[in-house]
Amino acid sequence: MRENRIEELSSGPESGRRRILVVGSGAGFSGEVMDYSVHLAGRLNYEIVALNVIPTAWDAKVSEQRADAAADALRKKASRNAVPFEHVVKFGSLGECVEELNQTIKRIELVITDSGVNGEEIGKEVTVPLFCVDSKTFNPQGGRDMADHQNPTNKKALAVKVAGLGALSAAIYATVFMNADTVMHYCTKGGLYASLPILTVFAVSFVHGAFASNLWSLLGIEAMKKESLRQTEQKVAEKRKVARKKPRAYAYVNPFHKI
Amino acid sequence: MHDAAQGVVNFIDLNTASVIFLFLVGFIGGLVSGFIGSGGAFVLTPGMMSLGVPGAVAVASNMCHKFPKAMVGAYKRFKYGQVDIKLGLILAASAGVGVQIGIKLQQYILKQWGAAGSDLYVSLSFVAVLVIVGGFVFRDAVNISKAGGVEKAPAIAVMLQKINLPPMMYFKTANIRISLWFTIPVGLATGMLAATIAVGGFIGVPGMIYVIGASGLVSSATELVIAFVMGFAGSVNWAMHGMVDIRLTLIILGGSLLGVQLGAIGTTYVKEHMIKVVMATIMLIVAVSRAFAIPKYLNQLNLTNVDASTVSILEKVSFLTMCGALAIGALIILSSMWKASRAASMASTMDESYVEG
Repeated sequence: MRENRIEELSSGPESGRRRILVVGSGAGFSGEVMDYSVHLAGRLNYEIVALNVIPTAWDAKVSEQRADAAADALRKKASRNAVPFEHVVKFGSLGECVEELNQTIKRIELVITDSGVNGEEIGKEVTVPLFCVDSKTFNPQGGRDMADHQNPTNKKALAVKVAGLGALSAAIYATVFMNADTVMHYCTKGGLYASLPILTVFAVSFVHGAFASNLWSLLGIEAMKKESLRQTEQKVAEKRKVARKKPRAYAYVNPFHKI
Repeated sequence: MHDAAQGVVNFIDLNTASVIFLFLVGFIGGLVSGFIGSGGAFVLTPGMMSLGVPGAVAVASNMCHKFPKAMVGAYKRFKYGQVDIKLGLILAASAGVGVQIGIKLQQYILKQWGAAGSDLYVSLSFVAVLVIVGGFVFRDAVNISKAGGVEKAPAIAVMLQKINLPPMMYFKTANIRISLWFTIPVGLATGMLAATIAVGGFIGVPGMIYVIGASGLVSSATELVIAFVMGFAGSVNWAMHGMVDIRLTLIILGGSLLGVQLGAIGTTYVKEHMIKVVMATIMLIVAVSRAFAIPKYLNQLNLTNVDASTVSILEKVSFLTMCGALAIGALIILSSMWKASRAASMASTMDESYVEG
């Protein structure tokens, strides 16, 4: 059961590529680490090797499943950006596992970890540049691709807001239309009475505008995050598509690829 | 003066169908103007008139809904960092002058050739401006999408930005340094078009893109500032004459405030050249619709003798084409938003699965 698992690493068609080793903390990868490493790999034309090191004291089966699930997210992110991806699960101490992997799969150019991983432990064993992505600073506004990751309490507060503003907006409309004759009489008097329709539309635009804004938020339609991220993803994917047109035999005939 | 106006003007009775129509057109118009900076007015004014609203009241009520809508849209897009307020205010100032020139010009034409001549002038300037500018924007949009979404700085704007004619102005959000003198023609043309066909944005936005050199995103957002300033001034003027039918305004506003926010959100979903695609599509279809209206005015001027029934059919076709222009614009916006959000939600479910895992 407690066997170290390496998915077709050295035999894969892309094995001649240089690699980024992404080390997750225990059984997971933080969003920041995933984004950073996938984009970096895309730009550098590297391959990603994701490593989960599970301490021997943990329940092997459960941990492995969790590691697989976590790696799946990273795998999908990588495939969206056309970055080749491998996943490795190892048991034991962090430093030893990284060193072992470094020996087996070669061409690991750099290691990316998140701040939950003890980098020193890796540094003691391996002489590969180690980058630590700070994943503790979670920005609630810009931390995700879409803003519809509100937690349920936020959503509840939003619903209350929508209901309140909606009622207020409806009240304004009801007042105007139930007294349409009076309202029209004064609003069309002209002169200084001109302020009446102007003030009314201002009031409506504040109340009804806020209602509309919150309504779209409640429905999960909100502004998307930075354009730049998507553009990078797109460009990288395009670039990789071009790279993939190379004859596949390239990797097999490369006489150095296993050295 | 306003008392006289009240005596003449009849305010219509509203029924359910007309309320729904106005609300829907308001919503779609709002969606389009939140996205490209203007739009909706060209359907709303004739639409209200077809419901029996007198022309002046239709224009006044439309304008009175336009400025709060533009304000809400501008605020929303300001939060996304797309609005250049300085550029908007400077253009709005010259556009204000442009409106006066446009009105004077129209009065002159009215005096010279009568109502039909004035209508013909409006239609012809409509068609000319829309075809030329719309065609240009469309060609640019096609080129950009062929190039895979990469936009090049427009040659004219680059040239004008190099000319050092004081006072030079720097616009921070648009990230442009250009002489004040080159912004003035854009503002004047925007104002003149607004006075003539009620949609200044059709020249304001392309003007900002191709003459001043702002991006499509910043231009369409900044147009909302211009629309707010001009719409506000115009509305106060109309309200002083007692021409605003607040009921019509509020119904349209009810829909358009929902739409304008959706349109503003939409700009963050799509690739930037989509703004140009939507704008050009709408402009070209509207141009066709105006062309349908020309035989009527030519008849009135006794220049042609087209059958009366044909003219009335053409008039209906013209109005429906305009509604179609707005609807197609809205469809493009919504479908591209839907596509983008589907792609993004796929990404976010993956993130989610990580969080849960």
